[in-house]
Amino acid sequence: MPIKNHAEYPYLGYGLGLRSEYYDTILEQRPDIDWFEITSENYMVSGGKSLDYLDRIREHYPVVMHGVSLSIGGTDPLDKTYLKQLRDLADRVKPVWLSDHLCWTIHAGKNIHDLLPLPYNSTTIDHLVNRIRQVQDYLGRQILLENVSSYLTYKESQISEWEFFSTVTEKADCMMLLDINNVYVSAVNHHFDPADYLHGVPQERVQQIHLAGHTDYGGFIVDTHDHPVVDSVWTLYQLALELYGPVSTMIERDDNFPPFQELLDELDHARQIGQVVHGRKTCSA
Amino acid sequence: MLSLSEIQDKFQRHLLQGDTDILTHIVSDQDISHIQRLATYKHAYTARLIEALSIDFSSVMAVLGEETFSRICLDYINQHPSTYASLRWFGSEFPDFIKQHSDFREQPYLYELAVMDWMFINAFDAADHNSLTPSCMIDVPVTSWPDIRLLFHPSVFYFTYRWNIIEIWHAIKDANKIPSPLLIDKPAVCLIWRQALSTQFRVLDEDEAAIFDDAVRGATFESLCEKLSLLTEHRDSEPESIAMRSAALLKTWLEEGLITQLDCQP
Repeated sequence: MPIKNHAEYPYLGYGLGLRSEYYDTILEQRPDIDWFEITSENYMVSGGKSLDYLDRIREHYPVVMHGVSLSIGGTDPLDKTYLKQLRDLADRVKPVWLSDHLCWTIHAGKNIHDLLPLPYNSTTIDHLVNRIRQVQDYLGRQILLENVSSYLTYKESQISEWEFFSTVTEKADCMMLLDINNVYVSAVNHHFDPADYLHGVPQERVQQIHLAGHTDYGGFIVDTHDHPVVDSVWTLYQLALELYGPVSTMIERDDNFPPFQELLDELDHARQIGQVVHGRKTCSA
Repeated sequence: MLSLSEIQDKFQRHLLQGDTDILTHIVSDQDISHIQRLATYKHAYTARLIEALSIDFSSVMAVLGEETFSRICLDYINQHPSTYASLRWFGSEFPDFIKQHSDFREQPYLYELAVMDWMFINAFDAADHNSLTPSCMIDVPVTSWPDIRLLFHPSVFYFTYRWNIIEIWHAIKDANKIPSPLLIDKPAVCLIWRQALSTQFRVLDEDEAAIFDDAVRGATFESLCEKLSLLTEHRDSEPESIAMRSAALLKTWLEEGLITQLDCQP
């Protein structure tokens, strides 16, 4: 089994995306969850209830930050106002780490508010590496980037997504947030073997794993984050742990919110897979 | 081969304006055409923005119904593409958009309802600040009162309305039949703010409404009393009675957590 040795970032165990629907339950029940991930933009506000809940939850759980508007693959100049807001929020939240997506969201000053795919070629790699270094220099820390679900391929793409993702992270010296569901969604939509993807990324770069549900339209899958994790994704998750060793893992649910216990049960399932693969309980924060 | 910037330009023009230049740069296969693949993004783009507006302007949506509201949202999305990092601010221009929309020029109450919805959002996440309590009034020297200026909490918002939107708002929240829009007898002022972490609202008394804007803008306590004394309802009152009414209003504002500082600087 590979041994991870990340000097900068610890292994966190099993976490959940922090959503306002569950604030009170979390504070009242203090559930057995190792950590939470917040959506950075939801807390880029001046004050009020969201920040108050976050402050109180942070007293009991480690938190990581996950953004959606960095537009690291965009061709507009990096948004310095946004970066400052991100850094200010990080100063307040003190996240264990900070991530965004390997995509573009903004062009010509207009935000599509979606995680749009990039063409996988050397020009895009050079562009990304330059921008990731700028962001890491500004924030004074390594960032994580997540693979997004995609529904199309550009004719300008010349290499596989995992080769592209791996090269970007190696050259820019950033880390990977590997969304196993997104790997599965893209594999079905683009007809590749998701196992090839998992085998194709450098294990030492995989710092965090997302697990989520999707909507299957029969041969075409949309990443909706509104259903439980499917069996095929659980199988891939097990393979990922076999390949990479223990990786901080979380369930990401963004809609059609179930009773909190259902998410805890899903997280427990992830824990059980971790125990099967690694033969021990891997973490309790 | 297109550059990255050209791809993004064509992709965005497809999403925002329906331009089809990007189509020839998308791989198509026998299972799913490039048109279907792009449609997934187009659908997600509008659905996400409509959802954000429907949450922020839930009262407007309740009145218009989902279908009409979605149609208006599409107009808004086309005319006001987001320039914000966060969806939180996407609805910033929506009340004014409703006000100017040709379909609603005869329904100005919709604008007032949209303003109310948006002020709730603004009060919800406005900056935190400690509020004073009524006990602070004891510490003000009697001679300082005329020059006192009030500093209000960052979550304080208020607006003048002319239609029965409060009645409409209550009906929506209580899931009752929404009343027909009607002009009210006199324009009134609705105050929205956050006390502790809870968003509040109430309608100001008539005399209170007459001085509230001045108070927020930094008028001295003496000038607020003077303005009160000129109101029809207080015209025949003794100065002591005006002073008592002013003090009572200030006490209410302090009890409600609206005031963060009594500034004694002349």
